[in-house]
Amino acid sequence: MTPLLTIHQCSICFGQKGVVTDVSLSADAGSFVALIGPNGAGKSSLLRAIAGIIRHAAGSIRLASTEVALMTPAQRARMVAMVSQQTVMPEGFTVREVIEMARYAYRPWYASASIADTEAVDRALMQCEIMQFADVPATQLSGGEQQRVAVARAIAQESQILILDEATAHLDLHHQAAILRISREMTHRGVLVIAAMHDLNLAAAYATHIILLDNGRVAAQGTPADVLQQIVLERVYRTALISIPLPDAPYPLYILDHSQSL
Amino acid sequence: MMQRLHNRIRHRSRWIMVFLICLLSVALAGALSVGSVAIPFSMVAEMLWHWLGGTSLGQFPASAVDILFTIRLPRVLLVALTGAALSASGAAYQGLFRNSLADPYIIGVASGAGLGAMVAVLAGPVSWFGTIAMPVGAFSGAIIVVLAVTVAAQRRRERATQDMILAGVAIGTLASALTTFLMIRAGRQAGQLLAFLLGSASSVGWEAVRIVTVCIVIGLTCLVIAARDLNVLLLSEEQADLLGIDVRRVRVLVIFGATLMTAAAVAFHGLIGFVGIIVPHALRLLFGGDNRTLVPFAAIFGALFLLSADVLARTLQAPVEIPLGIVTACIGSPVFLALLLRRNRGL
Repeated sequence: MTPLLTIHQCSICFGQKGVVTDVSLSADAGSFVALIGPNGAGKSSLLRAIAGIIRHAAGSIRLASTEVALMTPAQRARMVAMVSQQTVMPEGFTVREVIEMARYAYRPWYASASIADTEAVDRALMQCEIMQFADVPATQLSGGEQQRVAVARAIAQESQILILDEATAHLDLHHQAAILRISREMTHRGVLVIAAMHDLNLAAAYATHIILLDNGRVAAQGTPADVLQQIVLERVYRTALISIPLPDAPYPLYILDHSQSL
Repeated sequence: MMQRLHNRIRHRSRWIMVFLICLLSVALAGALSVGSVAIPFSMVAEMLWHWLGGTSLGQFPASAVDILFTIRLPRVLLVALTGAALSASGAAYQGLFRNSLADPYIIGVASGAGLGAMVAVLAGPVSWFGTIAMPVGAFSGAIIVVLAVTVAAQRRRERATQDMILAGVAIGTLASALTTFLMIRAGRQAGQLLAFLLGSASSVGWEAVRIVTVCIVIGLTCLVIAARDLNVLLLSEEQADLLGIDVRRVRVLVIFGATLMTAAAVAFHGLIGFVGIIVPHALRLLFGGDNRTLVPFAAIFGALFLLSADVLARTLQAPVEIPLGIVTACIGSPVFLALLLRRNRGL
C-alpha cells in the first residue's frame, strides 16, 4: 500500500542557502511523527514544504500518490491541515465562524454551509472542548483557547494529514497536554499527525516515530527508543543532558545538565 | 451585547437588505424633492412611479418634469452610485490589506484615478469619446498605480500586503504631486479642475450614470464573488492558502473590482474623502466583520451617506453649492474620531 506521505531526497533552499538537504522519509496513516532538532535545523521549512506553502528545490514530496506542488490549494486543503505556533483571530468573527472557514474548500463561493459542514464544525468544537465558546468573538479568548480554536479549525478541515508546527510552544501544561491528546485521538481515526516539537519528553510520550534533524539533514529516525540516544542528542543539541530511566518506557526522561556544557 | 446584535443581524441579513433598499428608495425620492426649486415629495414619488411604469408624464408641470429627469435624477443617482462604489471598495480594500484604515486612497488608486481623469479633461473632450474619456483616463491612471504597486511589492511575497500599502502611499503621493503640477499649469481651467478634485456633481448627465452603473455592477459582482474568501484572508495569506483559498485569484478579483468602482466614482465626482473609510468602519463596529454582509451593506450605506451629504451640499448655502468632498470631510472627520475613541475605550 502507498504510504500517505512520501518524501524522497527533498532539498529546500532560501535563495542560495540550503535549509533542508536530501531528506527522505515515509509515513503511514494513523502514525504520529515528531520532528525534533535544534532551532534552524529545518523542521518548520520541511513542514511548510509538506503543506505546500513553500516549494522544495529538489526531490519530491508526495501526498498519497500526488506530488504536492501539482495540487491546487483546495486539493491540498483536503489532504493537509496545519496549525502554526502563532494564531491570528480576525476581528468581528465568532469561534464557530472561524472554524467554519475550514469548510470553504469543500464548496463553491455561492453555496451556504451544508449539513455535513455544520456537523464537521460541531464535532471539532466538541473534540476540542470549546463548544461553550462557539458564539463568543474569537478575539476575546486567551492564547491557549485561541490555539484550541486553530486546532479545531484544522480538525474541521477533515484532511488526512495534520501538521503541528510547534503549535504547543507558548502554551501552559494544561493546553499543551490537551492539544497533544486531541492529536493522538486523530491518529486513532487514521489521520497522520506530524508535529515539530522542542520538548523531547513530550515527543517520546506521544510519537510513534521520531525524526531528528540537524542542520537540514536527518541525523536519526525511528521509534522513540531508537532516536532518543543520549550521545546522539548531546551531539546534535550541543548540550549536556541527564537521562533518568523510566520504569514502564523503553526510553529515558531527559533533562538539561546545568552543571556542564559541551 | 454587541455580539448578540451581530448574530441577530447575520441571521436576518436578507430582510435587513430589503429594508435598506426600501430606505434608499425613499432617500432617493427625498433627495430629488430638495433643491433650488422645491418639488413636493408626493409629486416626485408619483412622477417616478409613472416614469418607471412607462406611462405619460403629461399631467405634471413641464418644468418639474424637466428639472427632475434632466438635472436632478441623473445627479442624485450618480451621487448614490458614487457613495456605493467608494464605500464597497473601501470595505474590500480593508479586508484585503487587513487594515481598517485602508481605503481607495491608501494604495494610491484614487490619486491615480484623479490624475488620469485630469489628464483626460486637459486633453479635451471630443464628442461621445468626451464622456467616456474621463472614466477611461481614471481607470487607466488607477490601474497603472495598482500595477506599479503590485510590481513594487512582488519581491517579498510573504509580505506582499504590507509592501503594497507602503508602495501605494509613495506612488499615490507622486500622483497627487503630478495632479497639483498639472493644475498649476492649467491656467484659466485651474478653478474648474479644483472643483473637480474637491468632488462636484453639478454637471452630470445620463451618459455618466450609465457608465458608472456598468462599472459598479461589474465591480460589485467581483467583490461579492470574493467576499467569502476575503474573510479567510483576514487570518493571514498563509492560513488562507492552507484553508484551500486561491489567494492570487481573490487578490485579483478584489483589486480589479474595487479599482474599477473607484475609477468610475473619481472620474465623474472627483476625489471624495472619508466615504471609503468611515462607512465600512462604522458598519464593521455595528454588524461585525463578515465581508459577505459587509460589502453589500457598505454599498447601500455608502449611497445613503453620500446622498445625505449631497443634500447638505446643495441646501446649506443655496443657491451656492458646496463641493461634496468638503461636506463629507466635515461630517466624516468628527464621526471617524468618535468611532476611534469609542473603540479605544473598548465600548
